[in-house]
Amino acid sequence: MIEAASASECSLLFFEIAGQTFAADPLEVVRVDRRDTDLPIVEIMPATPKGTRVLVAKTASGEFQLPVDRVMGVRRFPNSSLRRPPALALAVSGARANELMGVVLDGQTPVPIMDLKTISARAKSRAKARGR
Amino acid sequence: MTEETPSAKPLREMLADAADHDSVAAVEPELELFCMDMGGERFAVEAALVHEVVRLPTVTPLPGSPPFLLGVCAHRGEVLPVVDLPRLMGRGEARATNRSRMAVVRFDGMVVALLADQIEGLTRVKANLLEPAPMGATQRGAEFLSGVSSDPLGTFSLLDLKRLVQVARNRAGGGT
Repeated sequence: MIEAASASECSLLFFEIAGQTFAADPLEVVRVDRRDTDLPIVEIMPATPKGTRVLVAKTASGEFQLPVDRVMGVRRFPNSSLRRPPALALAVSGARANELMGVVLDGQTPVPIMDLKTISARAKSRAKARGR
Repeated sequence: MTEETPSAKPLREMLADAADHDSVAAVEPELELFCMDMGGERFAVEAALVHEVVRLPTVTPLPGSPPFLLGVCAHRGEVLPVVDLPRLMGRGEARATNRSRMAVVRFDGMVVALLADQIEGLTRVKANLLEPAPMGATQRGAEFLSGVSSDPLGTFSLLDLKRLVQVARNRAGGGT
């Protein structure tokens, strides 16, 4: 159960893939589970996580799983530590620009906040293209 | 010297007619540039665009971003994109070492950190000594340059940052 954050702070689910830390909206994650062969898989990075954990997220089109190496848990941050993605990063990242919701400053370390719904949409359209 | 030429004007009068710094600058405008080594080459940007030079902090890669965008870093409460310009231009890559610095540049409403192998600092060149960048198959990234020139330390290329961003954006399919 995720406690609702106050208006001046936000909750973020932290996870690690290939040594890099990411964050996501915990409300988009249904559960942390072991890899399921039936659910569609999405990935953030080309590197395949060595772990067997997945984040299971739910969108309008159904559930999908994001393999991760480690789930670090939910942390609270003041809203003042949230940043929009830099304009240049959005401008040069093409179709994947929308997958980056923003950045949270964890001390002096920027942590990308990923939009799991947009990532799942990419995975879905890719699967559709393969099926043709 | 005691010999005098009858027609020569006194020195004081000649100095009164001599050009001063401002009038010379008006005739031969100078460019103030900021020079740095990137990927083993000397590059310069307009000095007015450079706001700060700092040590390279922790850089967080962004998934799905092109290789020349090394990631983002935190700087004075801002999140800045860190760019490897030689890589974008297809002219090698900048190396992150103890001597590496990032030059924080502001242009077109954007703040960008340029990774430099080494910072040289300010240099001045006469605008008319700026030559067009050599174009051709062997001159990779020439389209990103406003020109080439030289100072006592050698030849350098003047970067056209706006053009660089425009091309990077087009490559990503983001339009102009």
